[in-house]
Amino acid sequence: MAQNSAAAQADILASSRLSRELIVVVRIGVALLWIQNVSWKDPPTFGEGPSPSGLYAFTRYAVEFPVFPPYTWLVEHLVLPNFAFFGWMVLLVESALGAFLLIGLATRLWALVGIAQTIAIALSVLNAPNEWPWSYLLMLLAHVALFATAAGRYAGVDGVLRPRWQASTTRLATALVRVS
Amino acid sequence: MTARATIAIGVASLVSGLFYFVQGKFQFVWLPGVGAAIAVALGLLACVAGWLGNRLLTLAAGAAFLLAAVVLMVLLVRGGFLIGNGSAFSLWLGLGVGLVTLGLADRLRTVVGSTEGNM
Repeated sequence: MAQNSAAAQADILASSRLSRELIVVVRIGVALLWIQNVSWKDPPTFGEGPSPSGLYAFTRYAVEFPVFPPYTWLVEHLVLPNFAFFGWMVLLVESALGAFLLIGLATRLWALVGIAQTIAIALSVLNAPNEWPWSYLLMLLAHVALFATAAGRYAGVDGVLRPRWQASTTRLATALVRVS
Repeated sequence: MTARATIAIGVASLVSGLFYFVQGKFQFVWLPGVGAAIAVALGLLACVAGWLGNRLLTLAAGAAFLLAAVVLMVLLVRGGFLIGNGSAFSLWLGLGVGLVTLGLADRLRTVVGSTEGNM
């Protein structure tokens, strides 16, 4: 009975064009979230300076308004003293999140990266003034949904190329099958 | 299938050119005149590549997007004249990676074909 129910649920995505289109909308919407928010990660200082702003100021919230003490320690002793490097890493990871989720390539992998990045952001700002904790939980859940539905298989590069990757024996193709 | 996906990416770039006219909260990507012109030109190139089903043209369009993204980032770091912001970098990175991946798809099929031939 439970197996039949699970099969019927799986069939909804396979048989309902509307459901597939809605998953595409969610994937592209989440991609645009990352894409738009790359705009205020300004290289090369990322807001570090006499009047901290932008990414540096938000990262410092992890120390000013601690959420999880070990993470606070990490930010204070490792991230902030080497902020140029971490600023570039954030810029590149969030750019790639927007890029890969937009085109639906290696979508399940990037959904996991999105979950990790959402947790990192939440651990920095969750206790800061005027923050709404549910926004980060919703971000996290949106990425969980992208992972669960393998959202790149619908109107994404994953969907177009996955049959070829499955037919190929190369290591790259095997890896792409796993992360799509 | 890859041709349709190539055209879709081209159309996405053409549509992104409309952000030139968008202001405020829904300006997901900032593109000044030059950036919008690049988005339109490369979008057209991708559409033509998909329409012709030309793998090399698809790869060229993808490489051009990636080059544009690198140039954008260099200009962003230097300050002064800009062709887009970090959001445009992310967008062009995605379009470029997508086109290069699609352009290389037939190469993968060749590998599969040769493997099958050996069996």
